[in-house]
Amino acid sequence: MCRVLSYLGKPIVVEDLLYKPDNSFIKQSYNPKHMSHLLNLAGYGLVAWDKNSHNPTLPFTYKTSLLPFYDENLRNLAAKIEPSCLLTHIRGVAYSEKRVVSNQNVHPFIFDGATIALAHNGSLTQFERMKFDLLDFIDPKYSKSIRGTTDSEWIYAVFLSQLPQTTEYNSKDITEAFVKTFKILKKVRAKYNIEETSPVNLFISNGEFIAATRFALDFGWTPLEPESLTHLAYHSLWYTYGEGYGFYENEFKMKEGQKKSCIIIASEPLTEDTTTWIEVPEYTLLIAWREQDEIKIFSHDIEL
Amino acid sequence: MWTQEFKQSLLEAKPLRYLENSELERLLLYSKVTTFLPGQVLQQQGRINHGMYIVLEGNAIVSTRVLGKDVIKLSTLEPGDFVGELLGNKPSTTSVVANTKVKCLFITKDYFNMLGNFFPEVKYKISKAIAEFVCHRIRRLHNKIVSILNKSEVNVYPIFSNVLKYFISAKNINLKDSGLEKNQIKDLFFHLFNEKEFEELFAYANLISAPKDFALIQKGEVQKSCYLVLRGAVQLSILHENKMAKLTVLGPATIICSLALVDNKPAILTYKTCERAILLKIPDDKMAMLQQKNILLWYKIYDLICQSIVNREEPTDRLFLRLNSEFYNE
Repeated sequence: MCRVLSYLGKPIVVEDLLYKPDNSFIKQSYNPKHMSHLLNLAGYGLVAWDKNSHNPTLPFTYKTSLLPFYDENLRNLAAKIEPSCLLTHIRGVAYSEKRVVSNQNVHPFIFDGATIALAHNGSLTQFERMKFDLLDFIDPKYSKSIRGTTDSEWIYAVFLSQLPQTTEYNSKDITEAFVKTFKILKKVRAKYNIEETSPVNLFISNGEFIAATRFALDFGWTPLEPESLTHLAYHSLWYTYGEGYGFYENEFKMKEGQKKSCIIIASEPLTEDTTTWIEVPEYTLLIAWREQDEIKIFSHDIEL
Repeated sequence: MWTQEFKQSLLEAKPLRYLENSELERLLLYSKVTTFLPGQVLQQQGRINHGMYIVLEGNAIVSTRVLGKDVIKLSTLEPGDFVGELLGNKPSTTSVVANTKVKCLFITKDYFNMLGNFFPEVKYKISKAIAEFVCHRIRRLHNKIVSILNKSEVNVYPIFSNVLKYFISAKNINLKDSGLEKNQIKDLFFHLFNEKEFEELFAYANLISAPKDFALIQKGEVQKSCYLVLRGAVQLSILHENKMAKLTVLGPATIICSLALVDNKPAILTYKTCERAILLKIPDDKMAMLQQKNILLWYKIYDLICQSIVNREEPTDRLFLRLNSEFYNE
C-alpha cells in the first residue's frame, strides 16, 4: 500500500520526478510496477524545500484527497518549483467505505513547530487496539497535533517524541529515534499479542537529509493466502544516485558520474530499467546527507 | 540437419557440458540458430530475457552501466560461452553486443521448462551446469566483498552473538503445532507437483520451529539439507572475522540451501533466522534417499534448488555495490 519518493541534491523541477519518467511517481498511483492487488487512490501529498524561497526552512506543502493524475493545480505547481529536497507520497488503502479519505490523512505529515516530515508505506495490524497505548510514548505537544485517523500519523508522533530537543540532527539521533520507535511499537503489539506482519517503511526529511527504513514487525508472519504473499512485495525500497536527474539519452533517468550530487530513495524505481537502482534489503535504515554538494549515504542494519 | 562437428562443439559449451549426444538431439528439437551482425544486440541491460544464447561462432562484448560510473566493459564472449537465462526471471544486468558476426544457439525459457515434463534429465543436467557456473560467480564475488570488509570500518559482530548461537536450537513440530494446513504448504511451493509427489516429499521432510537467531547454515559447513520457509524470516549474510554484511532477508515461500548442494564446497554464506520461523526441512540423508528412490521427484526439487541458487547472485552483486556506495554499519 502507498508509494513514497524522496529526493536530495541539486535543485530539480518536480515535474521531472512526478510526471516525466517512464514509471513516473504519479503513474504509480494507477499502475505501480512493484505492487499488485491495490491502486493508490486515497490522496497525494508533497513537501519540498527550496533554499531560494522565502523562509527556506519551511517547506512547500501540497495535499489533496483527489486523484493526482486529474489534478491540474498539481501539474502546474510541479512545473514551476525547483526544490533541492522533497518528500512525496501517494496513499493506497483497501477499497472500503470504512476508510477515511481526507486531507488530514494525506502524508507526508509535518506538525506545527516540527522540522521533520514523515511519510509511511505500510500499516500496523490491529492498530485500533494499540493506538491509545502509544500515548504513553508521545510528547503531549505532538499528541494534540494528531488530526487524522491513520496509524502513520501516530507513528510520526511517536518518532518525533524520540528525537532530542534540537533542530540539528545527526545520523546517531535519527538512528536511535527510529530504533526506539520500532521498539515501542513492538512492545505495545506484544501487550495485545499482535503477531501478524506489519510493514513500517518510514521516510523522513527536514530539507537537509533524507532517511528511509525498510522494516517490518514480525516479518513473514502473514496469512498464507497468495494475496498476502504478494503484499510483502509492496514494501520494497530502492535508491539511485548520480550527477543529476533529468533527460539523458532519450529518457528521464539519473546521469552517471563520479560525484554523487543527488539521490532518490523510493518505494520503486522511476525507470523501467531497474538495474541502475539498488534495492535495499529488509531491516535496513538508509540516511543520505549533503556535505559540500556531495551526497553521503549511510546505512545501518536495524536490530531491535 | 546438425553436423557431428556442430554437435560436438555444442557439447563443449558450458551449459551443455553434461549432456550426451542423444540428449543434445532432444534439446535441439525446438532450439534455433540465430546470427547477429556486428553491432547488433544480443541482450539489453534492464530487459528480461526470454531464453539463452549459446555462442557458436564469433565473439560479443559484455558491458554494464554501473550505478555511479559510466558504461564498463566486462568481458568478451567466445564460442561455448552463454548469455541470457533459463532459471531466473530478473532483468539483465549487462548488455551484450556482437563484436563480429556471431552465430548462437537460442533456447527459449518456455521450451526449457517444457523439457522438465518430457525429458527431465536433460533439464536437470543443464540446470546443474548453469547453477555451478553461478556458484563460481557468487564465490568470486564473495572474495571481493571480503576484501572490502577487511579494509572497512564495519561494526564488529558482537562476540556474544557468536557464543549465543550454541544455546539456541530449533525443534521438530507437528502440523497442528505449526498452525498450518497441508494444502497451505502445498500452495506455497508445490503448485508444480501433483498430489502424490507432494505427499511423498512431505514424508521425507520435518517441520521445524526455530527461534530468532538460529543458524540454519553456517559458513564453512558442507551441508546438503534444504529448508523451505513457511513463516517468519531468514537473513543471508557474509561473516568474516567478526564483521557481518547482510545480503538479503528471505520470507515465506523461499528455499534455503547451501551452494554445497550444487558444487560440494563449504558454505560461504550464513543463513540465520531474524524472526522466529517455521520451516520445512529436508535433511541431507533424506535428500540423498530421495535421489535414489524417486529420481523424477528429485529432479523437480533440484530445479527449485537451482533457481534458488541463481537468485542468490543478485543480492550478492547488490551487496558489493552497496559496500562501494555506502558507509555501511559504520
